[in-house]
Amino acid sequence: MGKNKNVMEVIKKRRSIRDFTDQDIPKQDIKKLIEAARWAPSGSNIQAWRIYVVRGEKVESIKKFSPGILSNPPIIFVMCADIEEAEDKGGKLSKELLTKLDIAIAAQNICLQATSMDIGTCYIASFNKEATKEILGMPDNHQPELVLTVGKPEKTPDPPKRKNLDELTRWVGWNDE
Amino acid sequence: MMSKNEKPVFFDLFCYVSSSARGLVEEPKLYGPLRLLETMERIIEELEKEDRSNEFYKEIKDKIEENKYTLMEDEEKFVGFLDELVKMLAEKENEL
Repeated sequence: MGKNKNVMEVIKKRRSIRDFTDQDIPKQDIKKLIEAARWAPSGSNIQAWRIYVVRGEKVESIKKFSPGILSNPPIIFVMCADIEEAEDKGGKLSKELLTKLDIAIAAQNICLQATSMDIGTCYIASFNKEATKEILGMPDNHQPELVLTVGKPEKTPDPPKRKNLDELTRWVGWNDE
Repeated sequence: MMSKNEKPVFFDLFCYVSSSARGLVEEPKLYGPLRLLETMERIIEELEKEDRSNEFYKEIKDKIEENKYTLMEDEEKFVGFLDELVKMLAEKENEL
């Protein structure tokens, strides 16, 4: 994909990739994905999220406890909340909600940046948090919230059906009908 | 304490099934059938490793692989596939 793809094209091109090639992703490219996450908005600018970038044997171990990973990703990102920092700086709201929203937004930045680089991703919520913490030796304050699988797509699925705009939208204060 | 070399048969499957059981408490209802199909596939893979599978199981595994993701795209098609899978097994039961 060229540099000039506009945002809407990248958004529409993104798919949930569930079949990856064996090809590794260079660390430099991974850093670009993290950089995209770094620029995501964050409630009160707390940025209480951490990313574990995992490859090799540990991916295989986490996969065993992740029913949602039905593929063979070379790399996974385990997106975590630092619940201690969230609570210290942002209170209960940050700990229980805002940091989770921040993680979701950061994850979407990663997925869109990845799409623009022809790297595939898939959001995974079906994974066992306790097993993942144990396998990665996480401290108690790191709470896994989301896994992203990352790799070069082997197959890219067709886009699934989308609800139409009218079903999704309520126009308020628009008198142009 | 067992070493990695001594990992017993079905260990990975038990990791998967127990994590599925925990996850399904909160997950969408239709993920249950998906996890069960995936379990069937994994059991067949274990049988293949031990050379105890057969053509019929291979056919089932291929069909599951081909159809399991229809859940994400078309629920009706996914349920139709489940019916077809059960029918295949019922037909086999009559043959045996």
